[in-house]
Amino acid sequence: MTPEPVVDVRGLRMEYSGRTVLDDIDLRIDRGEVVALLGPNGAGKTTTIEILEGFRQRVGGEVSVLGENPERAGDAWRAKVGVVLQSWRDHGRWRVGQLLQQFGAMYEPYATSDRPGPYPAAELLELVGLAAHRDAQVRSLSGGQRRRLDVAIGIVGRPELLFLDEPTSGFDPVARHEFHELIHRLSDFDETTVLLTTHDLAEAEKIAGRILILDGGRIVANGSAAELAGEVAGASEITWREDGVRHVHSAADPVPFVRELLDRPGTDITELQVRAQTLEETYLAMVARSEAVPVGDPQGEVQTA
Amino acid sequence: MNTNANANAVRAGIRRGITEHWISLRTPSETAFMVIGLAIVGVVLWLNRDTEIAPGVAVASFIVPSILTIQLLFITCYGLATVVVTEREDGTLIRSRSLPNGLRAYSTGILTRTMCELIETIVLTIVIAAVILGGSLGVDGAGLAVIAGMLILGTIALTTFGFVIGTVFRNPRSVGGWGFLAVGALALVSGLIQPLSTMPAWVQVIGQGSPLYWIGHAFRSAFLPEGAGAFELGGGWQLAIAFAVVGAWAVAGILLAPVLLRRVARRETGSAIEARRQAALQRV
Repeated sequence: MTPEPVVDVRGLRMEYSGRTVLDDIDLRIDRGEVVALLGPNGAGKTTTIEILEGFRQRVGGEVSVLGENPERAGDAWRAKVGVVLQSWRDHGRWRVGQLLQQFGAMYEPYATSDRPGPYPAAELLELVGLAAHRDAQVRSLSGGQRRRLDVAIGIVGRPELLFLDEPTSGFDPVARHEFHELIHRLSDFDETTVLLTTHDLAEAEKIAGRILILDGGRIVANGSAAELAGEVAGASEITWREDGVRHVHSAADPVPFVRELLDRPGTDITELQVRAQTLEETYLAMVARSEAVPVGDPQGEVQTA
Repeated sequence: MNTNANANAVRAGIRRGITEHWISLRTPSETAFMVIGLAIVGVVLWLNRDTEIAPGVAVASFIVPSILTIQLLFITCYGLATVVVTEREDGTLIRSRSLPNGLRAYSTGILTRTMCELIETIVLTIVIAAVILGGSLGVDGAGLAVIAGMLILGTIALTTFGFVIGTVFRNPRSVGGWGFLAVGALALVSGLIQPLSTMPAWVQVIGQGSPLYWIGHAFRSAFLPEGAGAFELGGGWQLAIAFAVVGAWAVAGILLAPVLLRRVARRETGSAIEARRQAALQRV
């Protein structure tokens, strides 16, 4: 018996004034998964996530999130979903702890025997590294701190499913590392399902068990970072110096090639290096590949005002 | 479960409103706005403290009801609309939507905050008037009941229209400019600046459809002696009509506001907020 997926999307289509931005998207996310949505600007990442959050009405297709249609889901459903939007700058004059307490209280009626009530504000501030800023005004926070507060508000109700749209933009490396720890913790201990969009490939590789690449309104790749690399031919790069001349070769599986290279009699091989393809290279190759086969619409910046 | 959640949301909303009111009181620019307004009221009443329109009918007794009505309009309609439009642009509204029962808590919060501001302003105005003009301002028990009743009904009618205006306009700056003009025009055609009976007939028709004329009318009936009703349009006090008209506006608003608020909140998205934020940065 396969458990019910947390997110189940079939044939999702979206248009803005007649222009297709999402074209026949299929997506399934299971409980406890951390999935990253990657793609160039205007690929439809934010649109996808906003449809799943219930903030945008789709044009076609079936969408089920935690067993309900997000367009019609009620407050009990809201209580199970955490949302961190791309941009907010509200509540600037509130104090950090005060704001977290205010929002946490909204979840109190939805506590059940196996799902405890909201996080106490102090504990959550500790968790996102804002404990020292408890009494600070929200507008006095730096960009990265502000974003961490947004994440804290997103998880204050202990959501079963968390949506994060560009969660780490403006983070310094330390804050970023702490954020990754937090996501691991949520998915490992609380079995929180996470769907995030990001521009940071290293981040996607580090925290997501599965990566989806969205381009031109379609999913062009779906798998772990290693699986995606395997899909692109020439996944590893082998460089060496032979009789003073530098050579480069790429191969999906470098082992047989290197063996044969070293077995060749009478050649002087030095500076041999085998380098696995990075996610960045995979990503660029995949986006380039999908753009070579134009689907419907030209690429470009999509402004969804 | 459901009633529990609703009650919880209303409690959270009241807490939210009180917090925001405290924040507002501690913001010098906003407190200064109120203090200057009250100072102007004091000066106007002081200058007119001895003037009489007719024997025994003080000009101040006309001014105080108009001031109360304009304050009611300003705080419940203009002030509330400004807050809604601003908070729609900065993401407060969509944040509320991302929380369970968030919109209910949000609208309760905004009402609570408006009520706090209104009660403070009205009470301070009446105290200032009583100090400057001396005594009970000619208001008896029945008059006090009329004032209280009309304040409640008028608040319901005007706050809901504050919500409506706040959801119709897209840009906080346009509410600031056009809204201010509209409030002034409305005060004029509703006979709050100059008696409606002295204005052209077509203005009188518009004025009598406006809840503001009738709120002012009811307030005047409380502050002025029975005989001063002769200055009114119908030549006398018409409290039943006043309550009926303002009540009708209140009902219309109550029916319309939640629908519009939900509609606007549904259309609002994070990326739209981001796009407007970018646009706002461009303008600066």
